[in-house]
Amino acid sequence: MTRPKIQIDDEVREMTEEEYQWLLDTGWTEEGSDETPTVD
Amino acid sequence: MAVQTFTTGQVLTAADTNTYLANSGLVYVKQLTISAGVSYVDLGTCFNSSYDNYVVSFTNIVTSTSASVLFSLLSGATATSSGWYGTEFYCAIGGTTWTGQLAANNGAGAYCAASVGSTTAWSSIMQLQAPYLASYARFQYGVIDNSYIRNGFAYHGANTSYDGLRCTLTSGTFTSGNITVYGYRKG
Repeated sequence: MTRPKIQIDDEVREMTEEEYQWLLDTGWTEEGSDETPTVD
Repeated sequence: MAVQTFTTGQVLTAADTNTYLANSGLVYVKQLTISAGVSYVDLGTCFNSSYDNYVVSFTNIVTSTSASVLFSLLSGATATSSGWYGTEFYCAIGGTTWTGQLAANNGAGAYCAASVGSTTAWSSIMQLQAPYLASYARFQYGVIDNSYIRNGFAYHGANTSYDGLRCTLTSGTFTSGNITVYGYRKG
């Protein structure tokens, strides 16, 4: 599976597995909704 | 010296000019132009001992879908993983009713904008205090897109020094925009 890209200053690259896990831990989803989300 | 009053007939030297131009109150530190298709962006080494307080300006940010933006701090390449607390208030443009919502509850980041983006751009100004000091960092922001205005407040409850920032979407990817960091000159 291709992981999302990140930008670190001027560098753009695919994120590492560790970076991807951090992103998933924040609750990130590939597709969003139009609802105002809440943080629990 | 932060301020100098020149008198009539006094010679303004190159040294004076360079000194007092450099002594402006708000000093540009760093800007990042966001590339399309990234889920989060890092601005590294933008906080240092030269400044305690900062302005972070978000200009014409566009995202692939309506999403919220989490703001977190970096120590090197490592982002905060918890400790953020905050609240945001939003109001429809043209409306008068403010609604509060949680912006963070011991999270890896705190909202610095919620439910923004997609096909319309948003812009924001954030005041950020003490990210580089070994004390709690706090921020206040105001953000506007084409539908809502939002004010938010958050702090990171750790006595830790950070030298960079990360902005992460809750879904989708960034499309365009830029983020600029300025420091408040201390003396």
